[in-house]
Amino acid sequence: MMANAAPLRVVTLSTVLADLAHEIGGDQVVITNLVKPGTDPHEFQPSPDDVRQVSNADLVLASGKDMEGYLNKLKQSAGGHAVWLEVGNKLPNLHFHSSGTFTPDDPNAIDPHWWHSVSNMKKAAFFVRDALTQLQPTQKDFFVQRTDAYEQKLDDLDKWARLQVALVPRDQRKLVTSHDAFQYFARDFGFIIYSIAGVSTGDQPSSQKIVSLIKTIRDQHVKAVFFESMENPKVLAEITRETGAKIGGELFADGLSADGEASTYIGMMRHNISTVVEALK
Amino acid sequence: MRGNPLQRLLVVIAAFIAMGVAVGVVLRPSADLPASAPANPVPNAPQTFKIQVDFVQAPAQFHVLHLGKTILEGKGPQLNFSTEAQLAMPREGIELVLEATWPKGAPQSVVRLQCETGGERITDRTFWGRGDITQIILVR
Repeated sequence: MMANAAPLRVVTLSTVLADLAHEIGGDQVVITNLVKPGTDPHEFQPSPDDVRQVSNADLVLASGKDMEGYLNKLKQSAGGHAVWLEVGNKLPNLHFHSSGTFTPDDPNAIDPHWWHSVSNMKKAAFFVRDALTQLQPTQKDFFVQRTDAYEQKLDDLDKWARLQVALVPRDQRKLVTSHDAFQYFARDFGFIIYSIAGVSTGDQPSSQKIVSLIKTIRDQHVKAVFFESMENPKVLAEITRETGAKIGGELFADGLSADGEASTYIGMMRHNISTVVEALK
Repeated sequence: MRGNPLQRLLVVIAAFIAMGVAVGVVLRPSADLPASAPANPVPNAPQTFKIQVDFVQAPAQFHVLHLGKTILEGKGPQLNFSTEAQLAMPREGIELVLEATWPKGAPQSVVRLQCETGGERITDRTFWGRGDITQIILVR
């Protein structure tokens, strides 16, 4: 390893990618995350200062899969020499699909929340490792070593998660969430998703959709509904009142928290799994 | 029909009562049958599963869990283990967790888990491992 190699300047457009860049890059990267914890990535718009940060970056990490609607404008206005990696675009797409009497808002839409699959996160780690190595070949061994160590942590997480989910009967694996962000989670752990809003947090449910969802929750004997934020507590209150389902707890769908358990990817996944299992087992 | 109207009415009523009694006798449930047998079997009614686990190398220990509860466990030098368990089987199936540990230094080994219900083998899985393995097996 070269002792005096300048750290790479990495700009990230999600808290999950900032955590990943830290895990792989260690002290060989300086990370600037533009989408802060608590900021809705579906609604985020970069500021002039954000554009300047991108102009000076060596690597920009985006979620991809159309999560960042502003990406082309940001690329054009920032210029610079950065390598852009839309991590999710290198992963297979997962479409939303109907479940029983419940139909998603747009059956052709792609779920951009790929990080809710641990296997996707492992692949993302390899993509980031390769991008960092390409930019700083002298640090290849360092990045490979850190990626291997992180891969082991992700394997442990996956094993723990599968054993936890095995505590929930398969006919109880029905997840009612605020917005449709858990299709990858559902695929990996055998859940069916019924979301209140659509793919984006900005999508508001119609009264017809609420009625349909209430019927589905009753018909499917869903035990709990989960929230991401209390943006529309009236809807959640109406659903629990009409169905008898309980509030299962808060899930982190779009990113990490500023502090606490869910401030790292692994912590966030542990929080989500524990919350779901506790409410549905 | 002859006779006065009152007599004729009584005869008609008596005939109806007789017919009602006859129909009631025919339709009365047999004492051997439940009063209201369900049209379909209860979907999640527990059923008997025979679970068999066979090792090639004796395990230090192993157990099979369903929804967090141990339904079969054991240790070497025995190689073959089986049990019968009453498990509710939803349409979506059930998951069994198989955790096995072999003694330190044991060579790579193999374990086979079979599951039967209603005289039919519905699961037959073989796993290779060294040291320890944890597998989640979907049965349906």
